[in-house]
Amino acid sequence: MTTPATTLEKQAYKIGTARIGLWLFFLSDSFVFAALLVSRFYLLGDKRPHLEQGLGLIVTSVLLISSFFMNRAEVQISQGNRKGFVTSTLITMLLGIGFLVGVVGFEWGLAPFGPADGVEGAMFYMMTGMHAFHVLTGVVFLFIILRNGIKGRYSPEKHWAVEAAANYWHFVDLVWIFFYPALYLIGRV
Amino acid sequence: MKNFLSIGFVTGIIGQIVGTAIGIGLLTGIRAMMGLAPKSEPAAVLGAALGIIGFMIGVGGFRDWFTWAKGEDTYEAEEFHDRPGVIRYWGYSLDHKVIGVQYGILSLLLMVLGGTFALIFRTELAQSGMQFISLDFFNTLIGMHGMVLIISILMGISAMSNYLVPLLIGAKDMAFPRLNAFGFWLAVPASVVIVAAIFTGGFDTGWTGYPPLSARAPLGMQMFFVAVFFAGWSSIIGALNLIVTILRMRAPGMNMFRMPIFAWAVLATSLIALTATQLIGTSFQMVSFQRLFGMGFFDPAKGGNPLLFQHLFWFYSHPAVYVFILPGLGIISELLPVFVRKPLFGYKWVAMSSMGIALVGFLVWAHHMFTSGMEEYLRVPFMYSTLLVAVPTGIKFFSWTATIWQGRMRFATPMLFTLGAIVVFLLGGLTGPPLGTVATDLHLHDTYFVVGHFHDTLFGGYMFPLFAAIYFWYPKITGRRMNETLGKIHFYLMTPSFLVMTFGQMAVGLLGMRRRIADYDPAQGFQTTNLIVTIAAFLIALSILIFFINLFVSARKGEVAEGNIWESRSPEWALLPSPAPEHNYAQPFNVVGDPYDYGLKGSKYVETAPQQAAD
Amino acid sequence: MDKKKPVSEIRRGVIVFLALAVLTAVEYVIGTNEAPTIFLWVIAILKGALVLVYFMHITRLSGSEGGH
Repeated sequence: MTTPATTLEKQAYKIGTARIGLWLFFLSDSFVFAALLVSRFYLLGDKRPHLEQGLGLIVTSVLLISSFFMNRAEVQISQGNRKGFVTSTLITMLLGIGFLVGVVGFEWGLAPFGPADGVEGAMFYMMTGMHAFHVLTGVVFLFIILRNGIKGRYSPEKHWAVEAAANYWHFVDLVWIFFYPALYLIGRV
Repeated sequence: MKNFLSIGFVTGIIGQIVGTAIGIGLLTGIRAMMGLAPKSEPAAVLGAALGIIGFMIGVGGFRDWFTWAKGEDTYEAEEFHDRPGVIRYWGYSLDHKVIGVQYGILSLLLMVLGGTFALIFRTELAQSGMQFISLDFFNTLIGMHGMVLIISILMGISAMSNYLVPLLIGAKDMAFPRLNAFGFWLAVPASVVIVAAIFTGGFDTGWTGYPPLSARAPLGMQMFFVAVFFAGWSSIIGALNLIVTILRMRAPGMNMFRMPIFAWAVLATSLIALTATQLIGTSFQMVSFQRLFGMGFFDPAKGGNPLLFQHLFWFYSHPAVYVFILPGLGIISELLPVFVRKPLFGYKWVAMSSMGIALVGFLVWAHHMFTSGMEEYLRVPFMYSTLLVAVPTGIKFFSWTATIWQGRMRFATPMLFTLGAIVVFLLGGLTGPPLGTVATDLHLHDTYFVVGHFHDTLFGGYMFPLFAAIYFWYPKITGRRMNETLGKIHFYLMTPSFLVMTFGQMAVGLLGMRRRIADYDPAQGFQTTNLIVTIAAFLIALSILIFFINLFVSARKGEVAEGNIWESRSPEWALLPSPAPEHNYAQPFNVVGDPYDYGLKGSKYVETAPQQAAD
Repeated sequence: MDKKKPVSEIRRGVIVFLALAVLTAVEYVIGTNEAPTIFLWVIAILKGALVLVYFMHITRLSGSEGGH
């Protein structure tokens, strides 16, 4: 007996299951970042690495704005606004790439130390590197949903992939919310 | 040839070789183009990592996900069918029972490998003086024995939980069948890489890999790190899948407190494996990066601190031992009522005690560091939190004793191993508090007493229950029973030998023999004991050889198992034929009672659901 | 009714974003002026909570249960 109602219910149940899986992954992954955060305070304590404050604020803002557009994209697809969804996702993706360029391209070049120059450098490159790796995978996911979105694969009823990618993006943003003060603001130079 | 190439395992290995070659070639090529001298270590690390990814591509682990990424749909996991016959165990299957058996095969293979390492260095230790292996090779063997068997244990608990959890809770399969297969196959190339550590110079740190030694050990150390990193991911993926399965896929009527105890144990275990495993991956990655890029996390000359590694490492590696034992303790609670024909005593307490052990387990890691020079004020709190573990563990022992009390016991082989597990684990439990107490630990730290202690806990908490589970559920896999006589010989040979071995280890440990030591002075007076320990180790190996003979012979010649051979209330015995059919329960069932009410008149656990068409 | 809800969801995104932006600005000012660290932690936790609740919809988790 597969009436439309039961298939829909089954679909909803399946997405609920997938959602729990996704959140368990976030829980698991957050332990990596927590470990790095703890290491930063264990090794550096009240000292913070000497970094470009202006650049830090810029990349943080870029990531924050990208999160805004990500949320907008998800809302738009759930309302059936496919065109808006594509535009918002594209902006999110470009901002994500901008963040990567800012951190890996500029901040890594401007920092007065290399990864091998003392524990400050080690911690800074490890934390930003691990986070940048996650941003990079996030950009890949965004590219996938963008491509499938242009093809018209998503509808207000069926867009679990968008929700998953969006949640992943916000998770990466969430990590930066804690990494930014830990690297740039807390402690003395 | 074409047939041969359609086997997932073969294409996977080809993929691994290609991936490794690409990794090594890529880095060497880039360095050559930049005019730098070739460097073996970064190339080997990249090669090993890409080799593992190559294996996953080769075996077909990414195929469906790439299809989804392209925006196309694939078949549903329920429509998946295996190739008939034994060949299905060599390919990429989505069936949780096949994956469970695959995990089991890998686990037993690694167990033989790790056991063989032990036999080699035990032979060396039988006499003082260096007989036939070099000091470096001895160190490598010690570390490999530890880590290969840890991976073997992780695979073994995945085998049990993958095979049993969906059957016990009445699910068709795991929540994410593709992820399940991916998690298993990830462990295969990781096992290849860890074996490669022997051939790339080995490593001399033991399984713990403490810096600063691990920061300058030979190249084998890096292979060890890469292998553990990916095996850890396999464990995380498996744990995630199991948690979701247990939370979402239970049969109607099975609320949390009607679940089998084994499901509770797996839930607790998986919560640890899901979260804490990340810490060992991160800490090993940090050492690896220290070697590769000179990042001085643990290098005091650069402002780093080696103690940080120990904190990160033990934050996983202590809870990890609860990962190893909790499923085994669940098996004990699962089998005991079947063979004493009585309800399990204190079901809710036993269920909650697993969660209790898991939670307390997160707060005890620094008891491995009492002698490390960490802050002294940390010692006493960690001592108390460690001793606190005895409370939930004690609950389990009270439950088992009370369950056995006045029961009508049947001494089939699984029951023998269950009882053996209780006794051996009790010994492991009793030798724990002296190590968790600061005053005594200062003397016992890093001696053979510790070795004896954790062999007791791991045999009692994992090996004995694993054998019990294999003897018990083997008919569900093959349709035939294992030979009882051989099983009893296995038990009666292994148990006394094992007890002699660990008592001997503890005895020399109390006399001050250090663990991981390749040689000792005959004047210290533990030569005889060491010889006895070695002989006992070989007897254990012999008993396990008998087990393997039994395993293979019974698959063809064993007595055919028909119906509910153990008179179990559990649905996989009560409702399913042996061997269990594909996709488990063709007819869904309802849970109408409590799982362990053996001997209570008129009580029922499962009931086949009325057909919908009949309404 | 149908029209009203979607509009408010877009709007909520804007409001949450503005709150996050203001908090970030405050954070920056505090951080560069050597104010007590505790404020930075409080702000980070506040921002994290906003993202968890409004962007990641953590409440959907309890809504999607039903297997129990």
